[in-house]
Amino acid sequence: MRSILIVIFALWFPIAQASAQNNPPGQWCGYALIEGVPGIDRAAPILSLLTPDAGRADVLPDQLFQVKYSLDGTKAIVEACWKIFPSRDVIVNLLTLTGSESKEAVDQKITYSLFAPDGSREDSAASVREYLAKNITEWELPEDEIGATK
Amino acid sequence: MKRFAVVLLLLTLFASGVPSAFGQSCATPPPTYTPTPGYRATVQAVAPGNLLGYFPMDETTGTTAEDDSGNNADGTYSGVTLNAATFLTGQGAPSFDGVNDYMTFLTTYLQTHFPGQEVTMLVWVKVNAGYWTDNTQRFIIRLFIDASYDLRIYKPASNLLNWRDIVGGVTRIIQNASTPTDWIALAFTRSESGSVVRAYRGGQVVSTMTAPGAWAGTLANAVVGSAGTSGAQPHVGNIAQVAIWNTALDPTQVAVLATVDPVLTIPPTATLCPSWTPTFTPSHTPTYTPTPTTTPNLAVFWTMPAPVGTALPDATGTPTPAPGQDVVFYYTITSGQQINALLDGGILFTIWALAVLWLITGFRRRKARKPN
Repeated sequence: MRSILIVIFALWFPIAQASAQNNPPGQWCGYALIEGVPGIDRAAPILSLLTPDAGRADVLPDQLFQVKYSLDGTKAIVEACWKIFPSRDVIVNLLTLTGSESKEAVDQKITYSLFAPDGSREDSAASVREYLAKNITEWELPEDEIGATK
Repeated sequence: MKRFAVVLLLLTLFASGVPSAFGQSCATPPPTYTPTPGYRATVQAVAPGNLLGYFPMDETTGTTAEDDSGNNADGTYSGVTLNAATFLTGQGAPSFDGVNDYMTFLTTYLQTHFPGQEVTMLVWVKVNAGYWTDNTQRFIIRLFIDASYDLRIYKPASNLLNWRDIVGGVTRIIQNASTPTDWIALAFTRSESGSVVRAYRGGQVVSTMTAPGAWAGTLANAVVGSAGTSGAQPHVGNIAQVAIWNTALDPTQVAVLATVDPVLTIPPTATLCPSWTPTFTPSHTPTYTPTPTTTPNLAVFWTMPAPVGTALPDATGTPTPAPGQDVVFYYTITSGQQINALLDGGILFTIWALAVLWLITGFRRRKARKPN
């Protein structure tokens, strides 16, 4: 009996310490690029199901679902701390729910890439910034055309 | 099984840093910083009747950017990493990822009280490495109605800092080629009654334009860190201490707002070890030597500090001090902190030692009970 208690304590101790550090265990925080999905501006918000609830008082803004659309509306960069790793299969399954096309059809159309999926959030952000710098004309208006950008 | 359990427990405690916790009473903690409350009070004290919004942006959680102007016209964060940097006051500041982060502070209060004719925008900014050479437009702050009424501080693709005043469709630009990498205050004032628009960097006037156009209409957006709420032209770095007034502050007021008291750094507090021996090196030699004079009604006079020893002699100059006029000092180095440290370490160690003793005793007892 005593041995069991000791084992339980030994296993509980590091878990309690880890939870005290307030790190979302097993979550990947980073960015992904979705291309080729018709009506991506309507479809992308469903991916927020994989991210923290925005209504919580202790929520952190950078953990919530965020999206940036390309100027022509055919691409989206999505960002969050993902409760489930946003693999291609997971994303395709969710996007299928928003349209009338089959999973196979969505899977054929979509181009999906993760930015630095094995790295930290900052690695992923740096990777996105590098991508945006190379493709700036697809994502940002020239200075004289900013006008009433919302 | 028991031996395995004991070994597992000891390994776990060791890996968890409990042994180092026992020795922590001798460790020197890292320096701590005390936020300087003075800057917040400074902002709130400059033209308080005209302060429409003040966002220190020092939150550590949530999506609300608190308005400390007293108007409760809070802003909302989108995507920023809170408390990612330290502002000059010691308060936290958010970071903007250069992808789509921003803070919007458009409220009905701001729309109602922002006439546009008389304005001051203040913002503190710090940029990431490479900011001044990335040839990318990055907005720091923007208040606008549409393409014809638009006030902004931003960096265009030319990498020059810009203050842009677009009123009635007429664009007027002040540019500055500086490339600050540390925290710096940027401000923009426009006064139609005074017929002047001024751009400030670090509290100094960068340039002045005269005869601004006539602002008309109601604000449609007020954004920090981006050109709008779509996350376009995003800032990369940190922004804090944003404030808006519905009056054009003068250069003296802006200079005050661009000055932050230095952070009070509290030096590491050495937690006393039992073997600690205090060493005292006087850094100041008292030079004041009172002239002993006999003052008729002066009963006692202690000059402090005591010259030597523990007795503090009466210096009234009375030839023969009356008994009881001298003071004796008592000094102890056993501070409350030291006692606490000793107690903490002692209690933890005692618990740990008793647990180990209990386990060993139980193990021996069981072994003794086993038949040979």
